[in-house]
Amino acid sequence: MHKETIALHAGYEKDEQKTMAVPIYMTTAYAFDSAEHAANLFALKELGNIYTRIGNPTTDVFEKRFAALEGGEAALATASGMAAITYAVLNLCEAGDNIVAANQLYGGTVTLFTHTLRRLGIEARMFDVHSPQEAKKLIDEKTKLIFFESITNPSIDVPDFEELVKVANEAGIISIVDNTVATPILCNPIELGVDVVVHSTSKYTTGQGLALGGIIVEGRSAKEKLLNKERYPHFNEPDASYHGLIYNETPFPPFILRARLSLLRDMGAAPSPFNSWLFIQGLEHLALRMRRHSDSALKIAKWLANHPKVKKVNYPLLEGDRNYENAKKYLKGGASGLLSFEVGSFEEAKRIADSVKIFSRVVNIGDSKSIITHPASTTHQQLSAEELEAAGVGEGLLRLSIGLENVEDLIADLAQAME
Amino acid sequence: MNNFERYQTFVVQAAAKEGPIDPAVVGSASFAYGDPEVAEAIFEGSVQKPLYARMGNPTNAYLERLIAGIDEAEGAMATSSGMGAIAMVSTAMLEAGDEVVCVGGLFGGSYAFFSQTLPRFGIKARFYKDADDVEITPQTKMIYCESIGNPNMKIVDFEVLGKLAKEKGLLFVVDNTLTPLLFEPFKWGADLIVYSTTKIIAGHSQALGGAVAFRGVREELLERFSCLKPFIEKLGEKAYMGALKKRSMRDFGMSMNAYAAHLTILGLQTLALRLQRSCENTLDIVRALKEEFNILHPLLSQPERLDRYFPCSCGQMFSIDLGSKERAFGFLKSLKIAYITANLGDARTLAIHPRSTIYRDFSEEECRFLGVSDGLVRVSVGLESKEAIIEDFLRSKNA
Repeated sequence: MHKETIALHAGYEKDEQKTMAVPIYMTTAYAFDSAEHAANLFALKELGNIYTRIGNPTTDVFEKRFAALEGGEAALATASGMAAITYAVLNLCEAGDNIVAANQLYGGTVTLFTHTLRRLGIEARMFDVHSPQEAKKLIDEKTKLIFFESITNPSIDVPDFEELVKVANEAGIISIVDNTVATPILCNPIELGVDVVVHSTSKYTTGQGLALGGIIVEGRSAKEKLLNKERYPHFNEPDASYHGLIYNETPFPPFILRARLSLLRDMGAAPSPFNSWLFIQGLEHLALRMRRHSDSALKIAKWLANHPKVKKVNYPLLEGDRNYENAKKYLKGGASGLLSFEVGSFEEAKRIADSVKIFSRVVNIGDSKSIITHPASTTHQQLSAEELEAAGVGEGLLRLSIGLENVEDLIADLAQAME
Repeated sequence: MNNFERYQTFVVQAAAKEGPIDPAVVGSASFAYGDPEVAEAIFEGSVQKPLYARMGNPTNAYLERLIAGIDEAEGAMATSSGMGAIAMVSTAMLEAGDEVVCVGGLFGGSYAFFSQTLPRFGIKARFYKDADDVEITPQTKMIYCESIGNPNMKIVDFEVLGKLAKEKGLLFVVDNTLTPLLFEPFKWGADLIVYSTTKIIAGHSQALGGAVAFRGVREELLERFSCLKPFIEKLGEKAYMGALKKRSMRDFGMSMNAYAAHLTILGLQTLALRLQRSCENTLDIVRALKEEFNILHPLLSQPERLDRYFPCSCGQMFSIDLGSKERAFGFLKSLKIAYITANLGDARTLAIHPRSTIYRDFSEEECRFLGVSDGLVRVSVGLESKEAIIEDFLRSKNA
């Protein structure tokens, strides 16, 4: 089935009310039919609603629909994108383990990996996303995963999926891809061999900056790797915190099952059913929006490339961009709405950000309204000069998230701001 | 004025006298900054405006003001769930190599978090029945307890724990989901108070949420928590807010959403009324049933501690030990009023058999320690008529 169709139908079976829109189940708790029913639900002998921290009927539709769009086996929604990344990583790692991650990542992810997870005894080993062989050298017996973004933010690179997946598969470690910028419409990491996909659904999923959220999707290839008892013992040994359950021995996708029953249960970054409903509405027109974002972004990239004050434009589908070959190979129907360009100095970049009229100054991407960000003074402020350089963030770099406005209006706005 | 009256007035008077009386629901994920200088200043911390909904939003801020207000705290932070609040405090304040001491009865989710999940990240937890048993090592950083042990209904000696936290420079964290209308942890030396707002605060099983209320950082803590120094320099009495946000919520993202915050604010407006009614109901039900059932409640087992720490009452929860799983199941099947569900603090009366549900994952020994016997039924008393509840329970006694 095609994405447009999946986005409108998957995961929802109408109940006796026959509502076309998915109902919002705004509840925390659920009444059990009897004490036996309660005991069976907790024992996973019967499937059903227990408590909204670990599952909710509205959220369930959103999870099933998103999993179907990504071609995955199951999904877990979370309170934010950072919570999705955190749980995807903590699901595999414990103190003493390490992860191998690309340098070119969202600034918040870099801080999580290099500073915060270190306090929990987990080491992050970083590599240049264009050098898969560098990643290979960093892997040892304590490496639990390799992490990269499908379209990187804010450096806007497209990695060589084939090579990175090969590195992960040869080592037998789980690959995790943040597919937020590309969305399942433009890129399907699971089809490209990736094991687990994460998203910030605060971005393109609603397209309107309506709600905060995240999601993890498990691909069919994850389980085979998780069967490795030495590398992933906690998927193969009884979990004392869940009455001796062995995650790999249930009929359910083990990665999502464990993230839900262990991490979401204990650490509680649960999504609101209301937000899940907003995300379901957003998915219904995601395909239409992603094509428009991509077409407009390419036009603006071409216009910027010919502007005398612009030193460099980064957009994967711009001919001559270092990511052009990868973008042609791995992205379908566009390269999303994110682009960046570099001007002469920190001050000039700030002045342009200050002079635009249509673009909003917001730390977000993927909104229907166009956004301009100066990363060096905002999202990447916490990073040192070396970390900035490694993340590909120059002081004069401006990031644009192209919205759904008329593209001529956006070009005119940039033109007046750059005069 | 008693606590109920004081809080009721404070909460309903918190709205601005100009503009919307019911706070706006601001669901937006992101916020426009106007100009790049303001953006830089917000990120740097010198301008206090919303940065991004993961770090807070205006609706959450309204809820946080109310929670800080009822606790007379320096501030509060809302989270996506009560477990999110506990995880935020633990991951912000502890790191691999540290130890935490848990005292008294614990909710199954909290016990699993401390006994199973934190050790994977190098943080060890030790568990004690009461304050006098506690041993402190050089690695101990934090003391954690619940205001009433759930579901064993035991009250720990807060005064001893507060003194220990002061003498040894340990962080003292209390889960006070019961609310400060009944118990005030700061008075006994607590540094941080965590809540599941899902329970009596929201009050109708309608919104998942949690919160942390904090006071200023005590001088004695700085030896073990030098990480707090930069936050004190920058934020003074609100230092914990910086530490919780920058060391945990920013990266782990257990953020509350505006819709749940709004529902929780509505719940707070009637908290005092609901709590008074359900507490009165609970005490009368315990008194009426104490000869008929083996009831676990401090009124019967720890009356002196109850008087000392809980001037009005200790909430709407009590437990009944029916002796065996079969009798407990029979009792639950026969009840007509109670909903069998995994929640507490609802307007409706709720009941559950903890051993086969919330505590099913723990060993016999762990359950004995936590006071979860095979015949235990946990009850959360609602707003119904107490006569109807008493009659329903008596009728089901021998079912």
